[in-house]
Amino acid sequence: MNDKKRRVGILMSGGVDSSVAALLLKDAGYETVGVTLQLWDYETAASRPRGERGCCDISHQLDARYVCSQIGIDHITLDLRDRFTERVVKPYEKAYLKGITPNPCVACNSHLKWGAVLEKTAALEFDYIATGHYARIEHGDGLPLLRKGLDLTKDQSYALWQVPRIALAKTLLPLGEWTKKDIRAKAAEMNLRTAQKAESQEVCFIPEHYSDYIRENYPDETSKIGHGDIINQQGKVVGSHNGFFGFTIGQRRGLNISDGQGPYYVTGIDATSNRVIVGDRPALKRTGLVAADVNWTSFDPPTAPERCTIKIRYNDRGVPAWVIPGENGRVEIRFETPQISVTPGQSAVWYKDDAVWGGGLIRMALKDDWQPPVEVVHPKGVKA
Amino acid sequence: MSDKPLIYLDHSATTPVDADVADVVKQTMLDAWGNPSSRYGKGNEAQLVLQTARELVASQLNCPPEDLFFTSGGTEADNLALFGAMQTARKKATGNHLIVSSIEHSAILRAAEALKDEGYRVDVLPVSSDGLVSPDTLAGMIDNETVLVSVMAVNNEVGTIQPIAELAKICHEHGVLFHTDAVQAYGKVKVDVEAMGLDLVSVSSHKIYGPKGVGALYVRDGLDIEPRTRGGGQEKGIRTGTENMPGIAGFGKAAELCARHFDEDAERIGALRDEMFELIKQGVEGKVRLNGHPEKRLYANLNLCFEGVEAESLLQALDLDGIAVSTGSACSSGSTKPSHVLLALGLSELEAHSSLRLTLGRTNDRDSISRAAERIAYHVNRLRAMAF
Repeated sequence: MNDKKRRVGILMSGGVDSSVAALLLKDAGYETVGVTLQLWDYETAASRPRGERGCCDISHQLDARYVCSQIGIDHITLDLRDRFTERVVKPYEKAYLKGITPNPCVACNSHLKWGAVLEKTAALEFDYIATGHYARIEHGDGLPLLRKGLDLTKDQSYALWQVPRIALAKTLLPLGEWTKKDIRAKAAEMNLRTAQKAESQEVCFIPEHYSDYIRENYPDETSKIGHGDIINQQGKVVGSHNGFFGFTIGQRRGLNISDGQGPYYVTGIDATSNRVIVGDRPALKRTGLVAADVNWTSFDPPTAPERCTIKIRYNDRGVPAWVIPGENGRVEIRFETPQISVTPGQSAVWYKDDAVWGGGLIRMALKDDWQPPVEVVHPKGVKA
Repeated sequence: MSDKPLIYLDHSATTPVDADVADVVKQTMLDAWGNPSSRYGKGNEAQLVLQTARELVASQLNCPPEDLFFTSGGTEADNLALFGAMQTARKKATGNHLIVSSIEHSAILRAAEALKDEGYRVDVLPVSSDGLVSPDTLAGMIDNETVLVSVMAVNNEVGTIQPIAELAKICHEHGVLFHTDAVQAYGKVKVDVEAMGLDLVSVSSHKIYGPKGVGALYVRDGLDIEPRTRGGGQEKGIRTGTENMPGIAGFGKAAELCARHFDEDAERIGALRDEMFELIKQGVEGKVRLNGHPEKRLYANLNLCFEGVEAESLLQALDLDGIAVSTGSACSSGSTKPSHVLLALGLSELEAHSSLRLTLGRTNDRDSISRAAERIAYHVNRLRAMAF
């Protein structure tokens, strides 16, 4: 028997979750190494007021290093500034300019957190990598199974759909069976520096409102877009916008339409014709979606339409739907009952029980009627 | 951080404080805590400590103690020298031109950039592939507007020792001032302001087993440099503000110990460095290239290029073994930019990213050297095998 300790690199953001995750791994007997990704230029970030630095502030890296010394483990920093800009920030900005609402955290997870760190695992002789996400991975004989965290109010499996199977096979998620409350209590009990730290913002690199940020960084593109019409479901002009990239599907505020027919919601963004489409709340309803850039996270694709539970946004509890394999790696999802705010660019994640079956980026929302197949064999373990 | 015994091979980044130095620092804080500017007994006691430290630090430069001014470190000394000399020249309308070498520390390069933004003319003196500046090239760059030339005595990354006496001579022939950043040289390589004819010299305490946050600038007697700060007039107004007494006293002690260990350090650490290089060459399968000059280099410095190996990964793998090394200067570590020094020597970006700096010091012995060499060879061989 090889009595050498297994070495695991735990991604540490400087927050309370990954701090406790590191502690748990160490206590479980792993040779644990804290890994913090440097994604942004600290000098640039330091010129902003402290409250606007987001994850870019060096204090988070320093917190991670501090916690590592508190619990007595090594720490390294990986410099991924260029890759973060290229793989996360630029695509994020460009998506808005194409009328799409992007999902940078998913890209960051797969390209940065797992992608880059996996490349490093061999160089640093890591046996596993780990993160402080609230989700579980079951390592059995077959494919690794990515499952929801036991604390359903904190479950983060949705954000991990894009992590490739080969990466999941080398991943440990020590917080999967913990509640947030217990993690905070554990951090406090161990007197970890990060015990009281606030939750991080959703999009870490955008300090102000994102549309101002886009305008600042893409002056030519945004001034070319200029103003455009806001139209209703019948195609009638009901207002004007000063850049469609400032709107998201389902948005109600800031439309400035005063025809007395409201309230209006954004139901679509048409970048090609530079128009924002609005309607009443029922007009937001969609019967399905097409997902592209699909990853089959825990199970292979079905050969015929099968039932699943679908999540189309982060804090979505999930609704029953059908997953239908399509061409060119695309997948069609049909909801059992129509859903509102199906937003292109966001992630659609389909589950089998509490396991992430697969996911993709929403390419378009579908409006047409659809009938489920008459003869259906319910796959084992799927709730009807 | 973890419980592995540390093998420290980064003495050019900083050094552990000598126990005797720490004693002096503590004594100064607890006993000689007076303000050296105060005109009563407690102040006089502090003044004596300050004077003693100044003499000890000055003796390693062979300069009159009264021409040495304490600062917060090498960076401040460098900035004071460059801004001070250039601003005085502008005031007196005696010139506007500054020359710095391409392999200076960022304290010099960034200060020079800032001066350029203020309208001064700045030229960069190139180096040869082994890191040496050419006195002839310098002579050709000096013109009648040139005020100051700054070339470091020993380079922090590749350890190259520059012919500063020769460079100073050329400057003086043209009526130009010469500054040297001697932070890496001080206490290890002879720097003699009289014999070498230096006008301005920056030194630092924490590279010689002294405390951090203290350094000094030598300013030749009679040379007028514009201060960067205004206040109560301490350090003859050149660097005003109540002196960092514990740091200065510790710096003095560290300088005294340097004088005592000067020859012994050079011999013992130099032999360890040579042995380590041999061991690495024996252990590594394939090429190991030495960056910088093979002979004209600091006895403690090894800068090695392992083609096909990402030095950042090597550094991290060694860190997990408890071995501390560096891939460039500590100030730019974590940056994806390749070392400007290695690029100036003509290395490609890839070669620069494959280079490791090992700087030995008093904490090393034969055991730690051979263990480190063995781990370096192990990881280099492993990482090279992965790359192909």
